[in-house]
Amino acid sequence: MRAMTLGEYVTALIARLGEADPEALARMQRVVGRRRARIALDDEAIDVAFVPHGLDVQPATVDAPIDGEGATSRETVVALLDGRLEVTDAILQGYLRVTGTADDVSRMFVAIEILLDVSARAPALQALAETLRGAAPAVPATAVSPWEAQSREDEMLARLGLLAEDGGG
Amino acid sequence: MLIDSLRPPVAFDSTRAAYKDWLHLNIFDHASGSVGVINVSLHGAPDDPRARAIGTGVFHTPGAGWVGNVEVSAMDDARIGLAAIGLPQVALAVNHPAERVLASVLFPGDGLTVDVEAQALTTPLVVEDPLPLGPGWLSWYAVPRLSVGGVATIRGRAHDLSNASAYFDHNWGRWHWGDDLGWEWGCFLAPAPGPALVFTRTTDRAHREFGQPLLTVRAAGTRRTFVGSAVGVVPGMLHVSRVRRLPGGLAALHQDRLAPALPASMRITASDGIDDVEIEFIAEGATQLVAADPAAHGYSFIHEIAGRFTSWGRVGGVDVSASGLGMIEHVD
Repeated sequence: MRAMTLGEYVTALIARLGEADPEALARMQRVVGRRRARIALDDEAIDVAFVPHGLDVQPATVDAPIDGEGATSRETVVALLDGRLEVTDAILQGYLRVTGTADDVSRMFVAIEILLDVSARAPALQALAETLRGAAPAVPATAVSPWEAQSREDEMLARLGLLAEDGGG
Repeated sequence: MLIDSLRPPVAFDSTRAAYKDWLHLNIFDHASGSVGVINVSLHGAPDDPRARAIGTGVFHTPGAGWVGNVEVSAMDDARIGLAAIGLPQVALAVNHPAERVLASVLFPGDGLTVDVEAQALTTPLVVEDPLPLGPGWLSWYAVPRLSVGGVATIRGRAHDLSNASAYFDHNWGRWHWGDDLGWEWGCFLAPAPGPALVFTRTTDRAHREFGQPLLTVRAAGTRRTFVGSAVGVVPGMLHVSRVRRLPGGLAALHQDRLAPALPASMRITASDGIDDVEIEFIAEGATQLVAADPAAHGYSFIHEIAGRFTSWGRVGGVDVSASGLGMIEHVD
């Protein structure tokens, strides 16, 4: 069976979100408004935006205007879903890159939170995640250690002079 | 064992949306120091398409941390029997006439496969009357000690569990995850024929208000249960650290829970003027299981804390001084 393209996957996610929880979909639409986001997964990239008749999904092009971008890999997504990688570590270690203004980035994360929250009550959304898992390569042997990530975060904070001297918060 | 079974709500039960039911097995491998949790659970009204069946299989090994994972599926997709819940990767069944518990875990990609049979060695503790739990209630049935046969394969290394100890319980009730509720529970098993000690008390979510505590002791030829003011609890200093969190999707949703403050130790005392027991538990590692309610927008956080204990005291003339492995559950 042919694997879903990224565009098909995102379209299916939003469709199932709407079926499972129309109010959550409306909330997501209010949060992102007319903004257009670029989503890149491995070597696929699409531009998505809510339009009056639903979700507009287009192949990404260099000159298309966008408000923000999120890029990652299938293996990172699977590692996040399996609890082997925390979002914080994925960002710190460069496995998940999110760019845009602070407001646009914040709205992208809120949209993702709405999706994750609904998925806890929507088996159809979780089933879709399983299709992504099937298409993902094996998780790399370089398992991400939270302790290693904490150390790198501490190094960065120390370099920026932001680490509390007494070790407290 | 007394005959027990899952307790699904009847059709006219007005509280059926808050239905919860689970079967839980702890394994304490004294040889390796590993402590495991195998749990299968049902959440929500069975005819609600949002209802969930969840299978958890996690083991902690000193120095190596946690292995295993959590499997979440629609309740309709689970194989549910009188006292059994089967999911593709985690299954647990109770054969009450034979007083046996059978469990399996298949998370090879997460470093854990388990195939065990456990045989009851003690009579059960039955709390059939509903105990208040936040705005809901909870009942339970527990077997403090079982013998174990089988193998746990942890990070590719097979561990013979024939000298391990086990604890089993069945909990059921009505509550929504995310309500103002919590509990503290602990199970402490010395190698057989040493004592088995089980502690529990319900709490509010902040762990500032407590229900009546209970400590039950099963030791060679004797059993004793202490309740209420006879039981004292002194949680140790809180330890803030990153923990393994499952399932990953729900962990991602709760970045504020990345490093929970959990007790690094716990001291439990019980005395009624005749018998007395003291337990000192030292934590070695914790994992966080995020529980989403299928019918309400709420989440609770179940922390499984593995470690070691030492006990002192006498019950029914029997010395219950021992040491062994333990696990605390801290829910908020």
